[in-house]
Amino acid sequence: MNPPQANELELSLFGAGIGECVVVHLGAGNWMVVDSCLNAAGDKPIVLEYLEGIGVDVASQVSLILITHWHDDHIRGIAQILRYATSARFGCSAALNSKEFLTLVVADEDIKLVEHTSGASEFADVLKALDSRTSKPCRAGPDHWACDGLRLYSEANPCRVEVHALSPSSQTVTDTKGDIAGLIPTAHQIIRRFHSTGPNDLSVVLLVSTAGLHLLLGADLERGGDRRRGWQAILGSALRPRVTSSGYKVAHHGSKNADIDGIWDNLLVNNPCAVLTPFARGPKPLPSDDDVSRIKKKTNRLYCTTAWPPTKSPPRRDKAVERTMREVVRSRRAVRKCPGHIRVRAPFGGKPEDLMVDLFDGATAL
Amino acid sequence: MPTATLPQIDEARSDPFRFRNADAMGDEIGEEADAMLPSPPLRRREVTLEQNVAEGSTEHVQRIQQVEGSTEHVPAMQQDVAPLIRLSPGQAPQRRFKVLQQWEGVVSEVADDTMWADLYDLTDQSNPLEVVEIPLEEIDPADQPLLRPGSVFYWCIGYDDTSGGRRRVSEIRVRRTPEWSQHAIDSMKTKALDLLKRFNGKDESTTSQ
Repeated sequence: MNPPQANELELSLFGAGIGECVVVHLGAGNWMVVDSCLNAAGDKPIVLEYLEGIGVDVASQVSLILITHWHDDHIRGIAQILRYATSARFGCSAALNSKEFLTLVVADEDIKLVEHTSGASEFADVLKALDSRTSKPCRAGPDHWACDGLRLYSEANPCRVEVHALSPSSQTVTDTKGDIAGLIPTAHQIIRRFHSTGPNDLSVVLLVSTAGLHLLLGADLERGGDRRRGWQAILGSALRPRVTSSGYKVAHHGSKNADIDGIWDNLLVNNPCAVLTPFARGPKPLPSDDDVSRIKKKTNRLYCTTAWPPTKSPPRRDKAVERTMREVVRSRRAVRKCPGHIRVRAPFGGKPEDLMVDLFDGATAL
Repeated sequence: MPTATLPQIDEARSDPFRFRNADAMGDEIGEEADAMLPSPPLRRREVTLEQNVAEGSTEHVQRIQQVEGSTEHVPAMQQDVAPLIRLSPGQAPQRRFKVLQQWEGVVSEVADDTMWADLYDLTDQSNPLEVVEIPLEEIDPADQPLLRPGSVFYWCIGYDDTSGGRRRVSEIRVRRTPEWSQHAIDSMKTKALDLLKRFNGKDESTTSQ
């Protein structure tokens, strides 16, 4: 693979059955990393493999690293990226700037005896990585607490590129304190992994705007219960740049509860290039067949980072094991390990039809 | 000088049907023994008594008791590890568990009568993660209250071989972890507050529109 030209916009989306990572070329060799997932071997962030593979100097060329929210399918390996990307600024949701979330972060350090710890553990590692950058501990912490209207990146040469956060809304920042407070343990409660199941309203939706093309990165943001929350708050925001995007990272793996007509009508061009990652954990994998049908009514350019469906047949084992599993479990599916890759490129200042899509490692057009 | 030998102490004969004293069995078992368990050390003590103490007399018994209670007066003590029992074919309570498959699971959701979990293959780590739905009736009732999203459990499938035959076994055990203490929680909250103070002195956002 070759790196993009200096004046070429690129959005690369990686994802397997669980996990997601977006990387955007901001021009002139500068990159932004949004969220993180691991490679097929599970030992390295996929974005490091990709960027090193195309000759990017991660230490100097990654300018911005963001985590959209703290769920473990979006944050695995982010601390490792930060350790490599020594000049990158780091940002996360302003909804995490609370005593309640930081209590979870501190607490999760104490429960590492439990395997497969939550995103709070990874966040604790992020803070350590940031601490190691400076000899002044009081300087540690995220560079940006992203929220509606915050400009995170601005560069005029060689092309004008800006990155804005469109969420979370002020109301969500307030709500989140209460939601997270419910996860804080109490005395005599069993120590267990923190499991965040609440709505994804605190997710950071990003807008990458250029002189010509724009990209909307939907994170896992859901509709929102009212006009002060979720996508409804973005649509009603006075701070949002009034542009329509040609490329869309579909929100929350294409789920119905993260989709409203206003996104397609007000934030995107007609028939945009839409890319998504699947989510195979839990009772109902995302996107469902209905989700795919619904999105395809909005665009005929829909791509997924894995083959469809996102799950596959479980591995065959000893006959006695297979027999026992059939007796014990009601349903069973294996999750793909190898992240697929969708790459979208176009010249800065180009038109929507200039977007070129390439699919790698099992990514498919739906 | 006459010697008096204390009786051997043998404490493992409560079930003569299952366990037999290997010494007593002698050639009866011989080379056919398929298992031999060690016995506790046999306490065989040879006590030297004065010649003028008549064997069986009250003084003789008292002297023996004195010697037994005070090892420094024992001229010779032997502690041999000898087989106490020897298990013969057909009588040996053979029990073997052959593990076929092990997973570590993390609960992702719990409903009324079922749960969903991610299974990580411990037997072959190259296998992909699997998502399964397991009815709660498959979980030991004592473990069910421990099931919450985030709980870790271990699932083992194997053969339990006993002299009674072979059974295919599926065992799911929820991992026990300690409880939070009030001290730990108070400490966490203090640390979190310190972090928050640090961070709020540092938001260097470029431009806010």
